[in-house]
Amino acid sequence: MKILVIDDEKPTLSMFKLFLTAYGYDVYTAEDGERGLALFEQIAPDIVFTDIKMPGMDGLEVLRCIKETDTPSEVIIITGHGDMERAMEALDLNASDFINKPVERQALNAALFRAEKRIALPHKFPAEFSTIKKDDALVIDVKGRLTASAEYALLSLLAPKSLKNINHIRLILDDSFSIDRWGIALLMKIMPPLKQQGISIEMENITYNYARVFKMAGMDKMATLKEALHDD
Amino acid sequence: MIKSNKSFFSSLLSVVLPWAVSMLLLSACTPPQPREITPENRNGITKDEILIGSSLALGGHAGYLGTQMLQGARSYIRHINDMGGIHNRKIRLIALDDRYNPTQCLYNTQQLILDKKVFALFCYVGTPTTVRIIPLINEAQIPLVGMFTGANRLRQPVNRYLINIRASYYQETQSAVDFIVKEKKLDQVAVFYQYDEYGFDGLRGTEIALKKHGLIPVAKGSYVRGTLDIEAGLEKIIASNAQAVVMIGTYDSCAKFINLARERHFSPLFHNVSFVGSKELARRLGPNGDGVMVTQVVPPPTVTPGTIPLPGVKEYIALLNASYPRKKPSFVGLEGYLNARILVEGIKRAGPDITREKFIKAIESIQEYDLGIQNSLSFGKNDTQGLDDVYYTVIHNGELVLIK
Amino acid sequence: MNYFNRLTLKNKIFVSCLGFILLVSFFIALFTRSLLITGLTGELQKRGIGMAQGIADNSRVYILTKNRAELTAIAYDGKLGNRKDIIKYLMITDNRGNILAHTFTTGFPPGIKTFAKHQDFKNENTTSMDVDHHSVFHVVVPVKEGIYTIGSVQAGLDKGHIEKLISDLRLLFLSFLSMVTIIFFFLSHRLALHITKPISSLIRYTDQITRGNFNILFEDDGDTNNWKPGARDDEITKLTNSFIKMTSRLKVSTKRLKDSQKKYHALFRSGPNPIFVVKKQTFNILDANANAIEMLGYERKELLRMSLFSIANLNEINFTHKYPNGNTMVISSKVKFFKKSGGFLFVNVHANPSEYRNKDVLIVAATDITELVEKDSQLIQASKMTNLEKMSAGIAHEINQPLNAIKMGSEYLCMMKEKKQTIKDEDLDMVLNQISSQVSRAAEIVGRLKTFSRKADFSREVIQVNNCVRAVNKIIGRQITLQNIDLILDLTPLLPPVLAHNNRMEQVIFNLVTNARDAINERFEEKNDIDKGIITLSTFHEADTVGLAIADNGTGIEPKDLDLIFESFYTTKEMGEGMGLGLPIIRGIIKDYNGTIQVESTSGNGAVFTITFPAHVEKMGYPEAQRKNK
Repeated sequence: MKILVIDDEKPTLSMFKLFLTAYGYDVYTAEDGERGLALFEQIAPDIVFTDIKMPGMDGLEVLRCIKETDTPSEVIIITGHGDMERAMEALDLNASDFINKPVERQALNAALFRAEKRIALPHKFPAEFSTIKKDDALVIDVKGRLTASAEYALLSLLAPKSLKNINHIRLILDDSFSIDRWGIALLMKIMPPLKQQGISIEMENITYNYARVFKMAGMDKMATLKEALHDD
Repeated sequence: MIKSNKSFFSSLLSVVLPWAVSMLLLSACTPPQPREITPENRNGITKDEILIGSSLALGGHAGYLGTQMLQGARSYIRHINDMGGIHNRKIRLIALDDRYNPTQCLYNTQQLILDKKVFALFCYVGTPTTVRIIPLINEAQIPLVGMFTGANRLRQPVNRYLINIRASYYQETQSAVDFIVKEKKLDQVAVFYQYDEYGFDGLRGTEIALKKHGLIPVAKGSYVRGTLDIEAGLEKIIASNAQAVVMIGTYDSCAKFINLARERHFSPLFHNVSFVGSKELARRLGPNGDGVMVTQVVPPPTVTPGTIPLPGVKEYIALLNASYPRKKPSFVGLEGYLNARILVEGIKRAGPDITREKFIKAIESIQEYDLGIQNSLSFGKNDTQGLDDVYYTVIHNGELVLIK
Repeated sequence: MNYFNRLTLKNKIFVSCLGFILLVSFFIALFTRSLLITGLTGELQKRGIGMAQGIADNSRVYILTKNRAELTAIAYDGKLGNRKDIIKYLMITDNRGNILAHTFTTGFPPGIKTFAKHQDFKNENTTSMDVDHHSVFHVVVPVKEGIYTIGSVQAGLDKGHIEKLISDLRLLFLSFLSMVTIIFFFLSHRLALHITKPISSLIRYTDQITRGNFNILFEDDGDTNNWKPGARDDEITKLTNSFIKMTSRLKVSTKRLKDSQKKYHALFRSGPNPIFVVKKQTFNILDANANAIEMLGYERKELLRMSLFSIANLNEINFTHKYPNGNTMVISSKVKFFKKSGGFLFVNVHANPSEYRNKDVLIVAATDITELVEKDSQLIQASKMTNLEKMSAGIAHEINQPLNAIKMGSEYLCMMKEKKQTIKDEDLDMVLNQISSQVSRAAEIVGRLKTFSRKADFSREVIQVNNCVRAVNKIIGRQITLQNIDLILDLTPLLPPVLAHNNRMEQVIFNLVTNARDAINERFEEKNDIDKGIITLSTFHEADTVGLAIADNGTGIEPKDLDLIFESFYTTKEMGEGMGLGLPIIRGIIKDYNGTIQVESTSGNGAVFTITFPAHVEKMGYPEAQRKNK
């Protein structure tokens, strides 16, 4: 599998190359966005790591350009500390994931894992929901990309008659799950009334990074967030 | 309010005072009217003489009148002078001939008053002449005694300086008309007159008298004074078939008129006034004079045998004879004599301290004075005509005979 | 004249009118009389001469014929009728002057004959003389036969004739005058009254008003001469109406004045700011309001004994040359007012010239700005903090880079160890070296931060501006380039040193660079008409100055803002971004080092800030670094 790493910090690039090569990937590096894109077109990597803050074309621009091409690719953006706003933008642009500098192994592995999973799975858009009733719990499987367009479907799922005798909702995020800010907003919209009705909500299989985003949005107050487990 | 009153009056005063002053000043500009106070004139009076002046017709068409008159007057004056005069003063009479010419009369009179400085004027003859000198008489304030004229103007308005003695023409013509109309019972009366004031006076008197009888003159004929151009007048009167003609003229013109009328077989009743000069008229008429009437203002100056003569007449005749032995007495002469009588009486009555004023006052005091002609004479403050009677005479055989 | 002046108006009018009328009438009468006299006299003479001429014509023939009687008749006729009034006497003489005829019935007046004889017969002439106590005009008219004078007619024309006429006329005039006078007497009296009565009333009412009694009614006096406004439509009525209007306005004005006085009194008493009334020349305090007393802690009577200068750090110089009449001017800002307790407060002082109880005074008002001054210093401190804040973001980012490298390196090693995989030697070397160098890098960044925030010493140091520029570049350079802005350094080598502090200088440069960056970003956002942002830092030296210019191609500065950017709190940024403290503080720092700062800008197209400092010249024996700051 081919991975492209784009970063203006030479040391960072060296480290990435070392790591990812050790993991068995074909690693290509670029020091700026333009060279990165040129390389992308040339080699068509499966996964792309790109730093957000770069002189000239920044990471988001790279992400956008990549998503415009026909070549499917999972793009993971590397953010600086506290760059949550940028992270949100990246999600909007359908970045696969994001990781923080300084990069931790765990975060890197999780990102890679998720990326590979996503490569394999079809990307459903808009998101698809499948529900199962189990006793007094409603289990909703969410597959694909959850954006504002899923509102109608989601709401109809949560119609009062469906929620009869329901005390519990379990939202299980598929591995192919991705979300943008409108999707988060949607979730934030539907959760409070459910909570008011006394229905508890659980979200499962959230990636480490998504968990941080959700926490930031305040979703942890509405629902229980269960992170995905995986091993290196 | 008292305050304003005070100021009101003070301002009133402040105005009135200057006003009064200015009025006075203006009126002061009027010059005083100089009114002469004529002193009582004593011209012509000396210690032993009183100077009398006369301007009269001594020549010309009316010379007879003046001459006769003067003779009559002088006769008496001489008589008085012979008796010692009046108050030891003898009367001296200066007579100037004016030829019945008013201009000359005026000039003469001026001489008499200014140069001769006569005391009084005396014996003037004729209307135009006497009238002419009225301004002089008034200006000199000198009396004129006795005028041989009956002119109305000398009598009206009353002028105290003009002392008339004879009756007026109005009176004469009145008498004439009365006689003609009443006695003779004639109503076709014509008037022949001298074309001057004398004639106009007579004409007017006649008209007034006729009017009283409700008559008017049937014809009026005239002639120019100083001429004998009586023909035109005569024609007129002949044409009118007058029954009587009142004639106011002088002897020559009247004589010619009557003679010519007789020639033309026109024989109305001819009636003259005294001024005509009856004697002379009679003389010139000759036989034509018979029946011609003449009014007289004095009685005839003759003594008719068989009648008691009037004392005045008698004296006149006597005195005339004494002074002018060859002269015959006449009506005019008698008048002159009477004039002199009055003059002397006036001088006598005025006293020794005689002035013109005193003289005039003396004349005015003569009342019912008997001149011995059965015709009393009265003067007064408003009466400057002495005699009033008119006598009727008719020419008979060249003599004037008195008719009752 | 005094008397006249003392008269009442009514009497003045009255007397004047009357006097005038009298004078006029008098002059008319006089004039007319003289006119008449001359006229009548002329007429008389003419008439007399005419008559004499008539007589002359009539006499001609009789003179020739020497017919004295006729001549006398003519002479007397000449006096007949109406002529009697005019002609007193007549004489007709021959050409030798001998009297041919005359009308002197009663006698010649003395001298008349000789007089007549010696007249000039050839021409008409007139002599005025007295004859027989009569005033006459003696006229001489020649009697001519052809061109030869054959005699004369001399007549005496009685002046009495016209004199009578004149006196009649005079009497008429006098009566007329009297009547006019009397009528006018009453008329003018009435007129005067008519005028003065309303005026007297007005005087009475004016008196009332002077006493302050505005409530007068226009009552009738009960006088028959009733004066009601409007009853007459003339100037008096207009005057009355104006008067009424004036009175009501006066009333209103007085009331307003009183109200205004009350208001100002209240303002003075209870004004939120201290107000002093100070005598203009001596600056002694004449009055102080409650607030002033409270603020300073003195008692009122204590203040009134003091001069303004004893409670403020002002002197006369502050007050001179600042009096555009009546306008308020700021005397000073940040003036200290000294309290009785010894403390002081900061005030802004305004002064206003005025009149107070007939004295020239200044109304001095003060605004307490003590808090403001405190806040000011707080803000300066805050600004520093902001700078620091700005910096920290950059620092954080900067430090993150080496940390990442270290982390990834060490993680790699861990991972390889766990996976029991062999690390290639070159890889191991690379990782270890990286770790070491990255740590150094991080330490350096931290160190820079420390020096940046350290408080400056008072003593200035000899520094190189270029070094400061480089230092700032190290701190923020990378961050800026990340934002698509090129940071160009154009540093003149061998720059003379300046006396300053490194970290403060760096603070200045840093601030200007961040401003430049913000400007460029703004341009990117708003207009986006440049591809790349450029900030150029250049140093230069001229003569004895060292200069530093920071140029950018940002949005530039509007001309109107050029002067204001150095003012405290002035900012063009949105609320919440930037406090506008940077530039004033920078200027303050620059000034501290005896430097200058200037800005040039084209709106929309960049700005250049140029700073100059005096170059430091080492003097022998005097190490400058020891010199203390003020």
